[in-house]
Order: sequence, then C-alpha cells, then structure tokens
Amino acid sequence: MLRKPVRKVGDFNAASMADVTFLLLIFFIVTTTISSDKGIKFVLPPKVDNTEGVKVKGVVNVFLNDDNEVLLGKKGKEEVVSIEQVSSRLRALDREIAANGDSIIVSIKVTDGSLYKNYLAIIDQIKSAKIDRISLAQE
Amino acid sequence: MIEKKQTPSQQAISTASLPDIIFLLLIFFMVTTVFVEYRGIPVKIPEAVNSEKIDGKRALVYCYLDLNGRICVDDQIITNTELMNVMYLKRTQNPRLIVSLKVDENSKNGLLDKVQKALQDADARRVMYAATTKTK
Repeated sequence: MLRKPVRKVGDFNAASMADVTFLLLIFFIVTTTISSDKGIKFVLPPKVDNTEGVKVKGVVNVFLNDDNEVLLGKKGKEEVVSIEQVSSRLRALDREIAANGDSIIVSIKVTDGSLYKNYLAIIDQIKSAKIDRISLAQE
Repeated sequence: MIEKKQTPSQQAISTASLPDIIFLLLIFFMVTTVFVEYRGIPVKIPEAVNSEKIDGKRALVYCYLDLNGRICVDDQIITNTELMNVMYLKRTQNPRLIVSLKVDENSKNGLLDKVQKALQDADARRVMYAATTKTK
C-alpha cells in the first residue's frame, strides 16, 4: 500500500494578513455610500371605502389649483395666499382654533394638473408650522 | 542653562496591533455597507426646508415618478396596478416598509395621486417625499 506522505505543517505567515485585510478595507471604503436619504416623512391616511366628510371642528382647508394658486382658510372663509404665507397663516389659525379648545386639522386638496413642487412646498410649510394633523382630501 | 534631556533616538512604534486595528475598521465598513441595487430613472428632486434624514436604508423602497408619467420601481417601468401588487408583496415581507417617492418637481399631481391611492390599496402607507435640504 501506498504510504501517505506526512505533510509538514508550515508556520502560518501572519505578516501578510495585514495587507490582505487592508485591501479588503479599501474595497469596502470605496463601495460604501454614506446614506443621503433625505425627505419629508408622511403617513398616508388608511383606505376607507365609505369616505365620510370630516365633521370635527378646527378644519382648515388648503386648495391648490391648476394655476398653482393657493386658497387657505376655514370652510367658507378661504382666501388666496402665496405659498410662502401658508406657514404664518396656519400658525395664526392654529392659535385661534386652540383658543376655542379645538385642535387644528389641515385638509389639503390638490388638482391633478398642479405641480408637485408646489404641493411639496405646502407640505413643507405645514411642517414649518409644527402641525401634524394633515388630511388628504380625495375624490 | 537647562540641559536638554536627550530623547532616545530610535523608538519604533509597535506594528503588532496594526492588523487588529485594520481588522476592526474592516468589520465596521463591511457591516455598514449597503450595496446599490437599483439605479432608477433621472428625476429632479425638489427642495424643502423641513427635509430630514431618514434612517433605515434597508426598509426603503424607491419609487421614481418622472416627467413622462413613468413609474419606476426596482429598475422596472411598471403600471399603477402592478405597483399595487409589488408594494403589497414588499409590505408583507417587511412591515416597516417606507416608500421613498422620488417625484420630479415639475410633474403633475395627478400621477402622484394615482400612485398614492395604489399605495393605500397596498396598505404601504408610510411614505417619504424625497427632497434635498433647502438652505435658507
């Protein structure tokens, strides 16, 4: 029978270990993308089949139309405002509504033809006014 | 005069711990690396003042909406009904899913409205409007 040659176990050379890990390190440093996901968080309202109108007090309507004009105010008292004014108007309305013991809800309604950047600007303004209760009016 | 103490001329830094340090760094980068899976389609993202950093890259799904009204998820152009199915599947796989809506700033809200309705149908309601931070 053939005899298996006894292999001599050589010493493990740990000196090159550093080089190998260094190469791997450089690879991972290069491939890493520092997370740059920035945006405005928003939670869509749950889907309800039978949409009933919001009947609570303290609702402030914000409309955005095809000509990118903004209409803001309580029901029946809407006025045309510029997008930059939305935040300050909402703050004033928030104080007024809070004085009556209600809390503000902003209801946004946008037309299909309006521009997305204006919609986002309105959301941004609402966030600036520190209002969390936002409702999306849908048909 | 004060005599200067002579510093020992040759004091080598021990390099024995160098592999350990490099190894630690390596492990750190290996753990934090998330490989780019999808490239998406070119969109111009709007600016916002209240744009905040979103944690949890692994829970994010990117949904691109461009000027031509195309919807792009996972590098595939899909229709609105397909979007609902895709998002429903993703939502069941990861309940903490956040949909990152990368919408072109000059696109119309009609498309976004349809997409948001599809997301509501799929019960993937946590969204984020991708926006770069505006400097005041």
